[in-house]
Amino acid sequence: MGMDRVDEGAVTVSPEEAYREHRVALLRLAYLVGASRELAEDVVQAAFATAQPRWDQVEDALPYLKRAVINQVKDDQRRWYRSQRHKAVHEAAPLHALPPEVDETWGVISSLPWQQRAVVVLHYYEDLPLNEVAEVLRRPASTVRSDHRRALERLRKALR
Amino acid sequence: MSTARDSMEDQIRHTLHTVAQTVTEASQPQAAPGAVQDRARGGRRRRWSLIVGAGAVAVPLTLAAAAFVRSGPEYVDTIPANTIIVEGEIDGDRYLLVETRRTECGEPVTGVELVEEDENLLGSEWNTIGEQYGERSGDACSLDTSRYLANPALYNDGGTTVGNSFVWLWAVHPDVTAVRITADGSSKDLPIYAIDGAGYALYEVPEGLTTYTAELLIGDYVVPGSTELQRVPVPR
Repeated sequence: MGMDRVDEGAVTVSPEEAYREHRVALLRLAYLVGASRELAEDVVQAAFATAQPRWDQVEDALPYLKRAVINQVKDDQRRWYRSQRHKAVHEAAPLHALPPEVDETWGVISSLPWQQRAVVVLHYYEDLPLNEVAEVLRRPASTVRSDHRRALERLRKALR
Repeated sequence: MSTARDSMEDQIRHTLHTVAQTVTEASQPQAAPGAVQDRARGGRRRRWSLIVGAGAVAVPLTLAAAAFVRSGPEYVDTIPANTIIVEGEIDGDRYLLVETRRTECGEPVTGVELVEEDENLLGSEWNTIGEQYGERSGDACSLDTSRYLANPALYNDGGTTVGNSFVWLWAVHPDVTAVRITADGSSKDLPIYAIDGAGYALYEVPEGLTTYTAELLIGDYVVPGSTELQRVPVPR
C-alpha cells in the first residue's frame, strides 16, 4: 500500500478529526526521519496545510499525510544544510531525555545521511517494503536498495 | 550471517519504536486545528528567512554575502540548454548548475543556481540555491563587487545535499583559475566556470568525508588568505 494514494473514494473523516487522530503518529515519523521536536510540529502542521485543499480527493488520510511529512522534512533537511555555517542563526536543537534502553543504535541511525535514514525509518518503523519506500521517496528502487544496504553496513560497522 | 542480520534489524526496529514512544501528546505544544494553515505558512516563512547568506573567508559573518534561495513557478524542463553550465548525478539524483534567470527589483541578476532535478519537477516546489559574487549593497537591490574585486581572497560559498552527499559552490574572483580541494592526503583542482564577470566552481563532496581544505589558485599560486578548512555538515 502506497503512502500517498489519492483516489476517487474520498476520506470520510474531516481534517480536524484526522488531525486529532494522527497528529502524534505523524510527529513521531517526522522526528525519526530527522526533524527536531520543534520542527516536527511545524512539519505536521504544514502537511495538513498542504492536504487541506485536496482533502476530498484523499482516499486514505494517514498514508497521504505521512508522505507529506516525509517531503516536508526532506525539504527542510536541504535548507538546513545550507545554513550550517551560520551558527548565529541556527542554534543547536536542545537534547531531550531518551529512555535508558535507547542504546547507541539511535545515535548511529541519527548520523546516517538523510536518504539512508529515511529508508531505515520507512522500512523498519513503518514496515514498508523497499519498493514502497522507493515510491514514497520518489527514488529508483535500485537506489533505495543500495541506500538500505549501505545503511546496514554503517550500522553493523559502528555497532560492532 | 542471516541470524546476525536479523538480530541487527530487530535492534533497529526496537530502537525506532522506543524512540518514537518518547514523542507523546504531552511532549508537544498542541495547536488548534483551525490554526493549522496559518501556522504552517508562518513556520515556512520563518525558515526561508533564515537561510539566506553565504560564507566568505575574509569577511565577517554577516549576512551580507550574496547567496539566495529561490522558489517560483518554473521547472527543469523549461531551462534553456544554453544556460546549463554543468550537469552531474549523485546516487541517482541529477543536478544542474545553471546561469540564473532570477530577477530582483525588476532587474535580472548575475550568478548561478544549483538545481536538483528531483526537487523541481512539474508539481513540486521550485527549489534551488544560488551563489553570486560580491555583497549586498545598502539598497538590497544591487550587488557590490568592488571590495571583492580588490581582494581575490574574498569569495562566497554554500552547498546543499544531493543524494547522500553534498554539492558545494564557490563564487570567486575572475582571476582565480581553480579551487584546490585537499582531502585524505590527495588534492584535486576544480575547474572554474566564468559567468557574469566572476568565476564559479562546484565540488561533489564524497560521501563520508568529514573535512577538507579548499583554497583558491591563480595559476600555480595559492591566493594568500583563501585557505579554509571546510567541515562537511552532518545531520543532527
